[in-house]
Amino acid sequence: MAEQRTETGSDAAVERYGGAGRDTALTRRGGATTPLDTERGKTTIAEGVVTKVAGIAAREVPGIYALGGGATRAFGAMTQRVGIGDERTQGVSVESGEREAAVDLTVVIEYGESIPQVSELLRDNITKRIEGITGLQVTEVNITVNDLHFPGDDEQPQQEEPRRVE
Amino acid sequence: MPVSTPGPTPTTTRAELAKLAARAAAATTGVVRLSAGTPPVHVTDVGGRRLEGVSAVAAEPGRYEVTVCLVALPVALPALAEEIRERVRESARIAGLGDALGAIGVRVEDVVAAPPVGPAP
Repeated sequence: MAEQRTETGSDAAVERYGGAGRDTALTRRGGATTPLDTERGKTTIAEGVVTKVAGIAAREVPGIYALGGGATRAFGAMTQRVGIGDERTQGVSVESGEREAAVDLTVVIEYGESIPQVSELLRDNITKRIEGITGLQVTEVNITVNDLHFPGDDEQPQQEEPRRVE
Repeated sequence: MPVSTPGPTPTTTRAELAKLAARAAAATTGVVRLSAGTPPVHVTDVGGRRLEGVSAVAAEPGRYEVTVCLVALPVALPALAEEIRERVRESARIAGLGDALGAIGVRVEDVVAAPPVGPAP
């Protein structure tokens, strides 16, 4: 059963949506195997792959302005400048095993969008993409809305100065 | 140092399995390239040449478990892995090495978008 808790603090409102808590029992029965661990061999997917898929899936959802928020994004901007960060995985944390994956996301949503609706679309798209590409069953997608983006937050374009040379 | 005897030796069979597995995996649609992995353990010495993206380890005398490590497109990875296994098994059968091939592991190290199309000639 989906779990919804709303926390209001000094920062932007935070809503956390838990996963559906699917049955995580082992699916092996009488020799049956999982998509990644078959009798013919084992398929291993690096955790970074699942993280990357989750990050890309999140950016596909309308209403999501950015992943991460506040200090996370500032740190991420710094690591990207020095070449050790990847904006596709910023704000995304994944725990995955041989059969299942759990995802934690921190997002910035466009002001005016319905936070519950965008969050639900986000959960659905991430679940669909991870399960479709990796074969891992997504047990939960936890979403923290860390900030809202106002168009006025962006820097105003500088007024064009007259050219000094032709 | 003993001189190598003619005919297949365990080392030669292992190297041959590694080579055919690497070829089969690299030729599979959806595989971008092979990868030594992180840490770079999926490497096999094949006749003095370093072959990255595949390892072959003896599971029992004369039988080897082969693992290919790769970077893939964002396709359904379990199905891709099964196709790779089919191709490796078929290649081994054709080469007469079917009995020497044990389980086939597939490790997806990374996924990338389709590589950009090169400039028009």
